[in-house]
Amino acid sequence: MSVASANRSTAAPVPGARATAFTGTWPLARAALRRDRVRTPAWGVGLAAMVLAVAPTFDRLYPTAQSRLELAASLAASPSLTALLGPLYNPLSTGGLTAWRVGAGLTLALGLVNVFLVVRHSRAEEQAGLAELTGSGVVGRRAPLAAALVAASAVDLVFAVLVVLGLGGRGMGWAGALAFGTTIAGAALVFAAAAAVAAQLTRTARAANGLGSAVVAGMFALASLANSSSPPHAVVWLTPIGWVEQTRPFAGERWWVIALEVVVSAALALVALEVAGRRDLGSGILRPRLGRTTAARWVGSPQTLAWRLDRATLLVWVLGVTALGALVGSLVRSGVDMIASNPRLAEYIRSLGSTSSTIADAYALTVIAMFALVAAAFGLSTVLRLHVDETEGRAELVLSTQASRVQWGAARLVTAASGVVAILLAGGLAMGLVYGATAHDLPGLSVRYTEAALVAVPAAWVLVGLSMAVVGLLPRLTWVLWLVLTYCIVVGELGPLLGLPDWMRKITPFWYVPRWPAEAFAPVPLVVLTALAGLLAVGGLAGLKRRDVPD
Amino acid sequence: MPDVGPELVVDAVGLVKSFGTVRALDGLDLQVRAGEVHGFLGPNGAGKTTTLRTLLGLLRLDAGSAWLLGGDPWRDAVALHRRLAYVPGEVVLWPSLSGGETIDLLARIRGGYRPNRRAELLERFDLDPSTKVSTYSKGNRQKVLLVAALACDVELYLFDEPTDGLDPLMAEVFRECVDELTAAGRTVLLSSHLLAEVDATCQRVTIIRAGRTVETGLLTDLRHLGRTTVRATTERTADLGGIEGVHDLAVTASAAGAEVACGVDAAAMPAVLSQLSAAGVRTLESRPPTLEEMFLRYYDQSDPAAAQS
Repeated sequence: MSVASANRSTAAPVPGARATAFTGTWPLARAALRRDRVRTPAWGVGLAAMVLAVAPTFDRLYPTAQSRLELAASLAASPSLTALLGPLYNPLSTGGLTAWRVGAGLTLALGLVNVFLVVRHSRAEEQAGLAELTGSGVVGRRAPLAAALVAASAVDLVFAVLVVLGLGGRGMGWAGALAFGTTIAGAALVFAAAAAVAAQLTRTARAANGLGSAVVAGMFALASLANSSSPPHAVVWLTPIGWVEQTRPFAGERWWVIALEVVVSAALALVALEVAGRRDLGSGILRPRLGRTTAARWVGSPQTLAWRLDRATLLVWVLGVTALGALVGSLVRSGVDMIASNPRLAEYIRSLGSTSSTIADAYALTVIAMFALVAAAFGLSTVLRLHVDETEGRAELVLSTQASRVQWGAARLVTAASGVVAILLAGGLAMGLVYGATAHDLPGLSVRYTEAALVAVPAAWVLVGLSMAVVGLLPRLTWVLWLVLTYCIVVGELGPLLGLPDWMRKITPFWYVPRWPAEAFAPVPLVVLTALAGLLAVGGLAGLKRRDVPD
Repeated sequence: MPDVGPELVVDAVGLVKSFGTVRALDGLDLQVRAGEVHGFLGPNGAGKTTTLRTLLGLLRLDAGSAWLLGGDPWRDAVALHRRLAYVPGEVVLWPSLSGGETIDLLARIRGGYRPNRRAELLERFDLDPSTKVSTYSKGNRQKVLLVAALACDVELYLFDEPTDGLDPLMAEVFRECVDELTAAGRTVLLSSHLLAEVDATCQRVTIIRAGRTVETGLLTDLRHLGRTTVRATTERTADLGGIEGVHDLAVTASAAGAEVACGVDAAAMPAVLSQLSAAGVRTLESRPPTLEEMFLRYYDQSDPAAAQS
C-alpha cells in the first residue's frame, strides 16, 4: 500500500484562480469560429436563402385563395406529400405554405450541417491529437465539446436571424417568421447536441458522423411515418422534425414546442458534457471491436482492397436508399390520388419529372431523380477517397507495390460505378416492390421501377467520370466537385419550384435521363452519357499515370 | 563517373525536382551497391523523402537520371516494385482495417510475401494483429509497416526513418532484422536523421543537404576524412599552431609541462605527431570523429555563411 509522501507541496495549484471543467471554452470557441469564418456564414446564408427564394413561388403557383384551398383539400384527402413535407396548417398565408414546403427539408439539411460541425470540432480534433495539445493548456475537460456546440449554434443563429428578418420583412407576419426561424434552429440544436453525444460514444470522427447523420435521417423517416396518418400519429412528438411542424408557424404558433426543443437539446448537451468530463482522452463509450488477425483470402489487390474498404459504406447507402424507396413506395398510391385531384399540382409534378399522363410514373420518376443524385454523391465521394489517400499518404504505400497507378485508380472507379448501380437498383426495387404490393401488381411494378431506376445510371456515372477526371488531371480542384454536386441537387430538386431557366438544368447530365417508362425509351442519350462518363474516366486515369503522386 | 566496381542497385545522378518555386532536389547523387546497408542522412527538409519518392516513380524528375534495380523508376515502376519493399516515413493506414489485415494486404500486393515469416515478425515486434489500426499507437502503426515490408523476400528494402516512434527495444529488433537482410545478401537503403542508428547498421552513407549530396562513402573512410581529437601532455610546449590542418588548439602550461588539445585533419597527423614527440610526449589520447561531429561539420561547410566564421 502506498502512502502519500509527507513532503508533497501543499500550495494551491494556481493561487487565486478558479478553474472548472469549462475553463477555456471561450478561447476555444473563438478559435473554432475563426476557423469557420467562411463555413458558418456560408451554410447559414445559403440555407436561409433557399427559404427566401421559395416563398415568392407560392404567390405564383397558387395565386388565389381558391387555388390554395384546393391544394389543402387535396392534401387532406390523401397522406402522400403530407408524409414527406408534414401537414399544411395554413394554406391561405404564403408564410404557411413556405413553412410547409421547406420546413422538414431544411431541418434535415441544417441538422446534418450541425452534426458535421460538432463532430469536426470535437471528436475529429481529439482523434487528430489536437485535443491533447489544447488540453495540456489551461483548458477544462468539457471545454472542447462546449466550444464545438457554440460553433454549431453560430450557424443556427445566422440562419434563424436571416429567416426571421427575411420572411418578416416581406410582410408575412413577424410572429410566424420568428416561430419558423427559431423552431428550425432549435431542432438543429437538438441534432447538434445528439451529435455531441455520438461523439462521446465512438472513437472515430467517421463513426460519430455516421451515427449523427443516421439519427437525423431516422428522425426524418419517423416524422414521415407519423405524418402518413391524419392527424399525425403521436410518434410525431418523438422527432425534432415533427416539432418543427408542430410549432405551426404562421398557423397559430405554439411557442411551447420551441421551449421543448431548448429543454431537449440542453439535456442532451448536458449528458454529452458530463461524459466528456469523465472519460479518458481519446476513448469512447463504445469499445472498438477486435479485427481479423489475417486478411480474408480474397483480399490482395487494389480492387479487392477498395472493395474491403468501401463495402461497409456502400452497404449503409444501399440500406438508406432501400428504406427511402420502401417509404416512398408505400406513398405512391395515395400520392397518385392526390395529384389526380389537383390539376395545378399535377402540372407541377409533371414539370419535375415527366410530361406523361401516368401520374404514378411521374411521381416515381421524381423520386428516382433524387436516387440518382444520391448515387452520384456516393460515386463522387468514393472516387475522391483516392485523393484523400493521396494527401494523407496511403497512396504512396499502395503505389510502392506491384499495383500500377491505373489499377489503383480503376479500383475505386469500379467500386464507385458499381455502387451507383447498386444504389439505384436498391432504391428502384424497394419502391417498386412496396408500391407493387399496395397496387396488387408486384411482379409488373417491381420490374418496371427497377428498370426505370437503372435508366438513370449513366447520368450518375457522368459525375463519377468527372470526379476521376478531376482527381487524375486537376487534383487541386477536387473541392469543385462538391460545388458541381450541390449545383445538380439544387437545380434538379428546386429548379422547377424556383422557376429557374431550363439551360441551368441542361448543363447537368440528369436533364438527359430518358423519362422512361413515362415516355418512350430513348437509348441514344444513355449511350452518349455512358460514353461521356467513360471518356472522362479514361482521361482521368491517363492523367493519373502522368503526374506526381502526391501532387 | 562510371563505377566499374560493384553492381549498383540504385544509381541516381544529378536529380532535380522542384515543387513550384521550391527546389527540393538540386542535383542530388546517390549510389547504393548491391548487398550493402546504405545510410541516407540529412536534416529535416533536405530532400530524403523526395528522393525516395522519385526512386519509387511516384514523382517525376525535372532533370537528372535515376536507375533502380536495372530499370527506370518512372517507366518500369510496377515491374520494379515487385522486387522492393518500402516503408514510408509518414505512417498513415486505413483506420477500419486491423493490423493483421493491413500486413496481409500490403504484403500480398508486393512481391515475395512469406506468410510464415509474418508470424515470427509479429512475435519479435510484439504486435497484436487483431487490433484495429485506429487504436494503435504511432509505434505500433510503424511496426505494422515494418512487418509488412520485412515479411516480403525482395531484393531492395527502402526505409524512410523506420525507427521513428519505436522504443529502443524495438529499434534493436529492427536492427537485427536489417543485419539478417544483409546476411541474406539483400540491399537496404535507410533514410534517417538518427546518427546512432546509421552508425550501428550502415556500411556506407550518403549525406545530403538542401537537395544536394555533400558526402558519400564508407563510414570508416568518412571517419578518416574527419577530424581526430588529440589530447597530449608534453614536457615542453609543442608548437602546433603553425601546422596546416590543426584546429581549435588549446594549450595550458603548467609546472610539469604543457597540456594540448586540438582537432587534427588526417593529412596533418604526421606533422602533429612529430611535433609532439619532439616536445617530449608523456601521454597521448586520440579519438576518431563521431558521426555527429562529421554531420555537423558537413552542414556547416556547405553553408557559406557558416563556413566563413
